[in-house]
Amino acid sequence: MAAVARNTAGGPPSAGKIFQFKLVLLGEAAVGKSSLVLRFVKGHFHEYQESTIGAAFLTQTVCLDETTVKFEIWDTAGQERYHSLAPMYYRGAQAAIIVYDITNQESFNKAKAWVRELQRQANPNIVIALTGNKADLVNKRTVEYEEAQAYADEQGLLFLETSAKSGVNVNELFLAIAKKLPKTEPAGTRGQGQTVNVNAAAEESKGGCCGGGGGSASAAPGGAARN
Amino acid sequence: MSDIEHVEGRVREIHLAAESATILDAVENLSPGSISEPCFDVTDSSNDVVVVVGGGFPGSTESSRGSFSRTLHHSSGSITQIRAANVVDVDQQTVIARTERVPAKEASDYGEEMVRKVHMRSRGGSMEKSEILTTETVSCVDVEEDIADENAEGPLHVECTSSYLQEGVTQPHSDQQDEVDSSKPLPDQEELDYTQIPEWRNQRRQLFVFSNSGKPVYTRHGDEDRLVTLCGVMQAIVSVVNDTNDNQLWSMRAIGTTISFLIRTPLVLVTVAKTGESDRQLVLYLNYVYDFIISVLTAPQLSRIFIRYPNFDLRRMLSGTEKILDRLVDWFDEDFGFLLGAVRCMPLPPPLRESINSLLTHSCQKTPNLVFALVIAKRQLISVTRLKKYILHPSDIRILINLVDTSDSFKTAEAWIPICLPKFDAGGFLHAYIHYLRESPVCLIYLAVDPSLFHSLAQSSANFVSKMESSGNLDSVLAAMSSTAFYTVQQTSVVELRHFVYKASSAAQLTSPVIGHPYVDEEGRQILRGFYRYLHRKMHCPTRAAKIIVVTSNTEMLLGWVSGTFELYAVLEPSITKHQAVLAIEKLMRWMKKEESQLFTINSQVFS
Repeated sequence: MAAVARNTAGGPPSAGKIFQFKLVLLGEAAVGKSSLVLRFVKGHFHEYQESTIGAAFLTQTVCLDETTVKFEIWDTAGQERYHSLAPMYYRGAQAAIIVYDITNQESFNKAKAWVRELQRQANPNIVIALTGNKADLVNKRTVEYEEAQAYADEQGLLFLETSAKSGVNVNELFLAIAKKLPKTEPAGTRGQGQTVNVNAAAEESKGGCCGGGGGSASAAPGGAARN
Repeated sequence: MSDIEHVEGRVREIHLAAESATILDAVENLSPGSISEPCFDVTDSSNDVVVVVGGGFPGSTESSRGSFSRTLHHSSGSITQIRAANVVDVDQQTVIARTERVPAKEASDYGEEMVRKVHMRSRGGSMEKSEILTTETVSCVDVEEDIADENAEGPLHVECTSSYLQEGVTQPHSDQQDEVDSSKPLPDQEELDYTQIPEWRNQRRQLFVFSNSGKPVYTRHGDEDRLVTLCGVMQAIVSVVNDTNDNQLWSMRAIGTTISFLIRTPLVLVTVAKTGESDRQLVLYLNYVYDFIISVLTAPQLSRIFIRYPNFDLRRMLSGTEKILDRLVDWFDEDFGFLLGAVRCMPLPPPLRESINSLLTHSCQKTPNLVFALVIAKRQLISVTRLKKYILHPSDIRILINLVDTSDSFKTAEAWIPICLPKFDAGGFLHAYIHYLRESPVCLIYLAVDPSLFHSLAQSSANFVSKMESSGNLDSVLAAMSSTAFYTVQQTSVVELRHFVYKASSAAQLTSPVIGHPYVDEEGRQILRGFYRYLHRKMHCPTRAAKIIVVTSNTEMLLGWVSGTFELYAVLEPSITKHQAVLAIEKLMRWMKKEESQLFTINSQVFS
């Protein structure tokens, strides 16, 4: 059993312990990082998503069998000028999603560079997921699935192809990361961030995050609750 | 017809530089008269193109700049001659220049020209000295190719400007030798040149930014890649002028069009405006654009890039900001506050504003490394608070408001962005926490020096938001935004008044009622804005700044009044007498005094 609960940041869990993890999204500009996050957190998709400026911060909770995983997500801007700021966001992150666009070979090369940078400089135990986004544009594909899968296997990364537009594999991606993260550190040790939006979320999270996916989930194709 | 021609065509103008204490004294002592036009204005009535150059920027060292004009001869297809007579006139060098033979085309035409030969003759005081600058052909095609190749390490095309300067003979040249081979056609282009497209040429406000090497950085209208040639030519013109005696190109004029230049190495900013604004006003806008670029990159990073890679395509570093800059440029047209150096403040009931001020200041109190905090909505200021000793400049606030309001990406999540506020510190980034309150149009911004402060600011923000909600302030603001935030001129009870703009100088904030009859439609708005720009231009003219100006016409009376504490620009009914106008304005001032705390956030909020 696993489920994604929307807009339930910090809500009281109905089962097990809460684990809180910092997750960062990296990748070239316009590969769909913000779209992935917005699909995951809000169930929205905008065809013309605007460029992220700096970084956006969102939270989302995922329920696994016995535990609740709360992601603190840093959605970073992909533009070149922000590259030097990236360490600020991946420092201390337990998970990273490196996104490329399956129709853009250059973005895949850039993704590999991000993998190398994280392996060199990030938390050594960081869980890295390589994600080929825009899987709905399969007829414009330039990065082969097998090529990326082979690279991910070689580097020991999670790998999925996703489509923020259709919602395919988006929740699966975050669930796979949640499952892979070590559940040894109880919530509350990660500092102030956890209390963001507590007041606001309290009323929205009625029924608990496993109780059917929360308020705004209905808008999401690809579903809030899986299995 | 531009707005200002529209004004000038039908008005009787009365100027005075009043030292009088009250407007009543001033206007009673008013004597109709005409002060001679600034020397550069004389050419407005003829078919001339005037180039104004000087050693500094407008608004800087005015008296020392030593300005002179040059005449540009346009002849079909080529700029054939720059002739400048540099007449030393006591402490200011003034030049009257005019085109002798060839009526200039619209000044924006210059772009498609090729610089073929530049002749210059200068005369100063007793000494007579002339230079003939024979140019090699600066071919637009070559320029384009140089720039188009990103990896080219070769010499920049602009270097040719110094190599073709040859100091020479003192002979005045005959018109004969100005004849240039104009038969050479413009280079064939697969796509039609923008400069051939009337829709492009007729834009009221064009804006170009390019690097010292002539590589386009930003253009308001059209694709930069298709304007490479034009930017190259503009860069050539700038270089020709700048290579001589520490001069700098300021502006070019043609009928109805002013082209203004701002050279901020490594960038050159150019605007081509058919708005009737003066070159000084246009340069103010260019400064905003430059500040915007600095806000994205910081000044040291910008210069570092070009020191390392003189041929760098800066669009790479600015990608994703095009829409924000477009919006800024469009905002120039809509908001008179850019010229006034003031921010628009949202009218709110004084107790509500006080309550928000105190909540905001309180939320900042316990946060170290926080410098400024603002609450904004709909491009207007609701509240601002600052760390002791630091000042938030109105220009920085405008850059910030434009960024936050234009980019929808802030509306979906809390954001944490690096931003440089050029007037505060052009050398480094502040970090801005941006959060829309409960997805309403009300937005909270914290500005901090410490990049690791996000979580504690998010905490402060959460507290602030919950207090705004529990106190009912948020609902009150939203209610006010749909009612009292927009007042009409009728609420002032001054019947003779049609519209006004009032700037409280100490707070650098402005207020104005919603635009009413007869200026409600877009054309009317343009005319009204034209009036204000015209008054501003006249009142802030460096050679004869006026404290009070009254301009009457058959259709309206314009009144401008600048004092130490405020600036007032008003449009009144045309049928009233001077005396009635004075009474009306005094009545308005009384109303303004009464409503001050509703209209502005005057008392500066400080935390420590």
